Amino acid sequence: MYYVKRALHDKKFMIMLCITIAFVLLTIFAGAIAPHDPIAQNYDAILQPPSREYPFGTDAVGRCLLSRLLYGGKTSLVIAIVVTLLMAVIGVVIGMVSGYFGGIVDTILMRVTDMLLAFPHIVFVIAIVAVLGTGTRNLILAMTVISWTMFARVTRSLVITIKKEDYVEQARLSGASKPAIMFRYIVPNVIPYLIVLITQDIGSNLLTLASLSLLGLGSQPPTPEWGFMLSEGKRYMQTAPWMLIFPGMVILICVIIFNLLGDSLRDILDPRGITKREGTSFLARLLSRRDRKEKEEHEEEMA
Amino acid sequence: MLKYIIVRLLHTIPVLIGVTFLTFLLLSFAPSDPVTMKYLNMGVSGDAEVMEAEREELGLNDPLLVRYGRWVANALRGDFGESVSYNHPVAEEMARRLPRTIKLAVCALAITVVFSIPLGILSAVYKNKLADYIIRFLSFVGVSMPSFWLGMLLIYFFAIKLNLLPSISGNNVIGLILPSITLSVWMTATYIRRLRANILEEINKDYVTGLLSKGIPQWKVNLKHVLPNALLSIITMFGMSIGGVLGGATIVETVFSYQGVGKMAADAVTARDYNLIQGYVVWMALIFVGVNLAVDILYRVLDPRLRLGGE
Repeated sequence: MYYVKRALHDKKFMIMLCITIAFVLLTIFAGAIAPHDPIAQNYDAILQPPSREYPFGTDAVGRCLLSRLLYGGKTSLVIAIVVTLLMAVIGVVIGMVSGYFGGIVDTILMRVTDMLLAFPHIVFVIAIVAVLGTGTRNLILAMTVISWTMFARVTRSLVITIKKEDYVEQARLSGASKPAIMFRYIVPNVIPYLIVLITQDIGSNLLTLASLSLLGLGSQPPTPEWGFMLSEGKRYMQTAPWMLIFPGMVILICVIIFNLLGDSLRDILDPRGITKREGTSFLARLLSRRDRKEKEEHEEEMA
Repeated sequence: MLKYIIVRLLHTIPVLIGVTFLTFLLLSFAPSDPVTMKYLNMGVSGDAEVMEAEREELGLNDPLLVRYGRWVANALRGDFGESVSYNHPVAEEMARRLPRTIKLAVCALAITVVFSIPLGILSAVYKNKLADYIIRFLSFVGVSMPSFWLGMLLIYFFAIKLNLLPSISGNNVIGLILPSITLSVWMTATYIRRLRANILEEINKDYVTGLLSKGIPQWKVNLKHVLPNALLSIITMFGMSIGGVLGGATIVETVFSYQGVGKMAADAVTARDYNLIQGYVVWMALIFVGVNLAVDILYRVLDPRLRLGGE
């Protein structure tokens, strides 16, 4: 409740939230807003520049770009959100177990995450998609399998920190059961940080997904999808630059919106800046012991 | 110091074994094997018995661990098997393409350093002035910018509109310009943000106040004390961004049709060339682990706290 109150009074956050909601609504109601059928081909209007009839122009088979972008938003945004949530759920559960119970489970899990974190994700995703075959479902699967580790790491270290707090100790001494402590005292304190991480990750997942479908690993035509639309745009850039400019602009705006939303959420939910990170591959740091030591010291300090 | 290097070297071994085993395990689930691929490429459907015999001969029916052991033994000799899509050894293809990707990565890193350090300093020194706002705005856009789109826009303006640079990048200096700029933008933006934050944090430390109270001018303190300390973390960033560079190279190389290992890997997926993918993953792991090791050692050499404190 405290956080909700703070959020409602934060002007920057409310503005970002409204823009995000507007953006999501636009794609959800794509069917009602889109001026044309996103898949219908119209050979009388091939590679038309932006006009009143087609505000963003048309592509090589006369499909309306604006409609395709609106419908594509459904695919791209929904996939990005689904991937992020899947990663978060898997990572959080594993991180909780690992952090709360410790011991051998913890050691094994941490070694596995070490391995997965110690590596450019896109390389692994390529390898997985190579085995499973291309397609949206396999891409989601590949990204989830590789990227849950970040959430597991953060959750684990948060749980370890919170576990040492006085109020948890008190609950334990008054005879609360382990599940009770977990769900009543630890989970509620982890959630704010997770919300920040999830929001920030939607933007970067959106980018990764678009680049992977650009490589031809994602959704297959004729489904409208932003990354794939860009790869079509590249082919016709000489004659129809609007096919290149609009999809890219939409992706950029979308990523910026989610990044800004994540930043303002962090200001509200995480004043100490625990979730703060520079770029996505901060994960690589975890490979080296130097940073792990730093982190442990930090954890001790916080405890 | 030597002891530290040896310990760190030993630490990389489990990581390398883990990464290669994971990919080996993964690729062993692949729906087709070299024998099937061979017949598929010849355009005939092989006799089931003959194919089975060939599998037996190649040792494809052996247990996973035996096959992995054999693969490691071969890989240590530099033999990563045959590439089905190029019809020659994987090692040969890697040797041809890897230098190109490394060249691209080095150029991108050089551009990053040249631009991010002065801009990061400028942004911190003129905190909350116009220059700072402009730099911060640009670096924020740079962080969110999809690299593939940026690459395409650069092709559109410099290759198609102005006709200055080639749209398909060959293996020469001119061909490297646009891809390395594309690859460096995201890094430059993150480095600027990091450097600015570091300088501002450093400037508020007690020793700076101490030096200033002794009457040493601000610019001298900044140049001699604040900057070297703030730059130290840029070295850590180097190790961190190597993963991003290797991953990003896949996309940038595809956009510019630059024939490096990234483009090769993306093509190998559609060609189902599993040996090639395995070789690619191994090399990426080696580079990644190697660079991080080098960064760690360099960091120890440069940071007096670690150098003198010892292990």
